[in-house]
Amino acid sequence: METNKQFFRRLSAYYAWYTVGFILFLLVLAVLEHEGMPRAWIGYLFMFVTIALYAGIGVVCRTSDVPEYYVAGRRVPALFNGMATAADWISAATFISLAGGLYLQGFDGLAYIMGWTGGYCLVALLIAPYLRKFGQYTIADFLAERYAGRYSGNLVRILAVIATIIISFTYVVAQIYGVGLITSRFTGIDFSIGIFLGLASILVCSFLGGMRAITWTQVAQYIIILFAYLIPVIWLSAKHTSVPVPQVAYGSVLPKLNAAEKRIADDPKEKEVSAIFQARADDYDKKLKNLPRSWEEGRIDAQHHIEEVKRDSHASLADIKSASRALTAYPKSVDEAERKWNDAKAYNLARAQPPVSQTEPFPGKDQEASDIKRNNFLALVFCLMLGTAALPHILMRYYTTPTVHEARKSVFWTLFFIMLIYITVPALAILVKYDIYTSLVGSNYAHLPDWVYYWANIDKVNPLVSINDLNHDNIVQLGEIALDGDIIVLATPEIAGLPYFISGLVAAGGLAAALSTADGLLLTISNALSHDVYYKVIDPAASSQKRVTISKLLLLVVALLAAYAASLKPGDILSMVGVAFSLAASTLFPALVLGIFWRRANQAGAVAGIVAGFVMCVYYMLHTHPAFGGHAANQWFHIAPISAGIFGVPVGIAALVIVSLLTPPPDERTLALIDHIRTP
Amino acid sequence: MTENSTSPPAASTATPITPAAYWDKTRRLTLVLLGLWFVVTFVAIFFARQLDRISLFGWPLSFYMAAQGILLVYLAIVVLYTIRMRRAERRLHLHSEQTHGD
Repeated sequence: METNKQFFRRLSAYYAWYTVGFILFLLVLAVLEHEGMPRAWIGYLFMFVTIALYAGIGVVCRTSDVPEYYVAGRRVPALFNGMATAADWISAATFISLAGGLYLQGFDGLAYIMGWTGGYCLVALLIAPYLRKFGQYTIADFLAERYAGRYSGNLVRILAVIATIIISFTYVVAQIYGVGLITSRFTGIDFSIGIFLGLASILVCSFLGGMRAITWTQVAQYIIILFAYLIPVIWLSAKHTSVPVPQVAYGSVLPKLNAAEKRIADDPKEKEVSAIFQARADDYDKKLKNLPRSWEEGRIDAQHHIEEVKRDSHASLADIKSASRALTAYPKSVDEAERKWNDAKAYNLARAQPPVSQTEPFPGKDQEASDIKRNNFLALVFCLMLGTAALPHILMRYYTTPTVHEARKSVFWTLFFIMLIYITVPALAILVKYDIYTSLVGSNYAHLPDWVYYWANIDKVNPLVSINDLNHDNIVQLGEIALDGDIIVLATPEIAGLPYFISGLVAAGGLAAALSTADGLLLTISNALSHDVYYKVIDPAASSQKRVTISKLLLLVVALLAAYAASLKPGDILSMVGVAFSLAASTLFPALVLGIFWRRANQAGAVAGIVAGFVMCVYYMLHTHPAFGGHAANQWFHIAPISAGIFGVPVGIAALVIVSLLTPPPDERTLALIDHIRTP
Repeated sequence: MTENSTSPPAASTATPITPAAYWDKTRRLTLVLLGLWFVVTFVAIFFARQLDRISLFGWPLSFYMAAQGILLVYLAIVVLYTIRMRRAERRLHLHSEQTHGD
C-alpha cells in the first residue's frame, strides 16, 4: 500500500510531465502556424486534442467502486484537491465574461471578484472541515443525518436534493451554453453540434470514472486554464508597461487610463456621437408616448416604403430586400412595439452616456443614485459569498481529502489557485481598455485592425463588436464602438498582436473552464438522484454495483436534458449563474451553518428554513426580474433581482431559529453527531 | 487577537487540551476571523467613496482593495485559520493519547 506522501510525489511527477508535454504541444503549434497552417486547423487541433485528453484521463481512471466513484477514494492530496476545486469553480462565466463585465461596468464589476473569492473564507471557517469529518458522500447526506429527527431525515434529504438539483441544473446549463459558444466561435462548427461535442467529452470522463476521473481531469484542466488566461495578459502587460507581471504592473497604467478617459469625455466629436444616440432615444420616446397611433403609422409607412422601392426602377434588389426585412421586423402588435421600443430607447440612452470611469466607486448623478449602487454592490457580494459557501458541487469536493487538516489546507489551495486567475482579471480588463482607448479610438476607419472584422463576422445576428462611423468623420470615436463583454477575453490575443495559436489556447482554456465545471455539476446532480433519492429513500438494500450503475445512467439522462436546455439558448450566462448563487445562499446556507454551530437547530426548523429561504428568494426574483414577468418597480430598497439572497438568507435563518425554538430540541443521537463533527 | 498571545508551543512541548477547550478555541478563532472578513468586505466597501481619494502606487485605494488587497486578506484569513487549527488539533490529540494511552 502506497503512503499518502508517495502518492503525492507520483501525482506531482505526472502533472509535471503533463505540463511539459503541453508546452511542447504549444511550441509545435507555433511552428506549424509559422509554416503556414490555416487558422481553422489550429482551432480544430486545440479542440480535439484537449477533448481527447480529458476523455483519455476518464478512460484511465474508470471505476465502479463506490468510494472511488463518489469521493475519489478520499485520498486526494490538499494541493491537487485545491487545483481541482479551482477548475470546478472557474466556470465559463468567470473565464469568458468576468473581464468583460469589469471592462463595461468599471468598479461595479469587482463585486464578482470579491464575492467569488471571499466566499472561501466562509467555506474554510464554517463548513469544509466539519463536512470532511462527517465523511459521507453528498450535502443532502449531511443535512439528513444532522436533522434526522425522531423518525427519519428523509424529508430534509428530499428538500436538500431538490435545492441541489435546481441550483446545479441552472448552473450546468450555463456551462454547456458556454461550451457551445466557444466551439462555434472558434471552429465555426454549429452551436448545437458544439454542445454535443463538449457533452461527449464530459460524459466519457464522468461516466466512466465518477469523482475520481473528474478530479484528475480537473487538475489537468486547471493547468490549461492558467496558461490560457495568463499568457495573453503577460504579453499585454509587457507591451504597455514593460513589466511582465500584470498583477503588479497595471497600477502604472491606471493614471494613464484615467487621463485617456478624461480626454475622451471632453472630446467634442464624442459629444456629437452621444447627441446622435440621444436624438434616437428621444425619437423612440416620442413614439412610445403616442402609442397606439404611432405603431399604426409606422406600419403603414413601412408598407408604403416597400411599394415605393418596388416602383422605383433604380432600386436594387438589396434595397427591396432591406425594405421588406424592415417590414417583417416591425412589431406585430402594440404590446410588442411597446416592449421593443422601450428596449431600443434604453439601449440608445445607454450609448448616449459618457463612458463609465474604470476606477471610481459607485458613480451616480446624485448621492442617492450612488448610494443605490453601493447597496447593490454590497448585496451582490453578500449573495455571491454565501452562495459560494453553499454550492453543493464545491462542498462535495471537500469530502475527497484524506483528513480534516487536509480539507482545511485544501481550501487554502483552492483560494490560492482561484486568486491566481482572479487578481489577473482586473489587470486584463484595464490593459485591454487602455489599448482600445489609445490605439483604436482616434484611428482612421480605413485602417481598422483585423480583429474587428474577424469578430464582427462571427455572429451576424448579435455581433460581438460593431463599429460604425455615425458622425461620418472617418475617425473612430469611443461612442461608435459597441463591444460585447465576452470579446474582451476571447480577442485579447489578437488585440495584443499575438499569433493565432494563442487565440486557440484561449479558446481551449475557456472550453476547459466550462467543461470542468459542467463535469462537477453533472456528477453532483446524478449523485443527488442516485445516492440520496434511489439508495437512501427508494431502495436502501441496493448493492454497490447497482448504485454506481444507476448513478451512471442518471448522469447520461441529466446531461442530455441540460444539453437540450442549453440548445434553446436561454438568457445570458452571467445572470443565470447569479440566480443559482442567490438560491444556494437562501436555501442551503442557513441549514448548513446553523446545523454545525447551533446545537438547538432541529428538523422542523431546518425544513422551515429551507422552504422559507427558497420561497422568499424565488418570490423576489419573480416579482422583480423582467425575464420572469416581474418589474423593476417592485424592487425593495432598489436591490436588483440577482441579489434576491439578501432577503432570502435572513428569512431562512429567522424561520430556522424560530421554528427550532418552538419545537422540541434534537435527540441524543443528533447531539452526539454534532460533537463528533466538531472534533477533528 | 483574543487567542493566547504567548509564543506558539512546538509540537513536542504543546500542552494537551480537552475537547471542550478545543471547541471553545475553535469558536473564538472562527468569530475573530469572521469579524475580520466582515470588516474588510463590508465596511471597506461601504466607505469606498471616501477611500477613493487616497492613492497607492498609482492605484486609487478603494479600487486596489476591491481588485486585489481584500483578496489577499481573504487568503491570509484562511492561512491563519489552517495554521492555528492545526496547532489546536495537535494539542487535542495529545490529550486523547494521554487519556487513552495510560
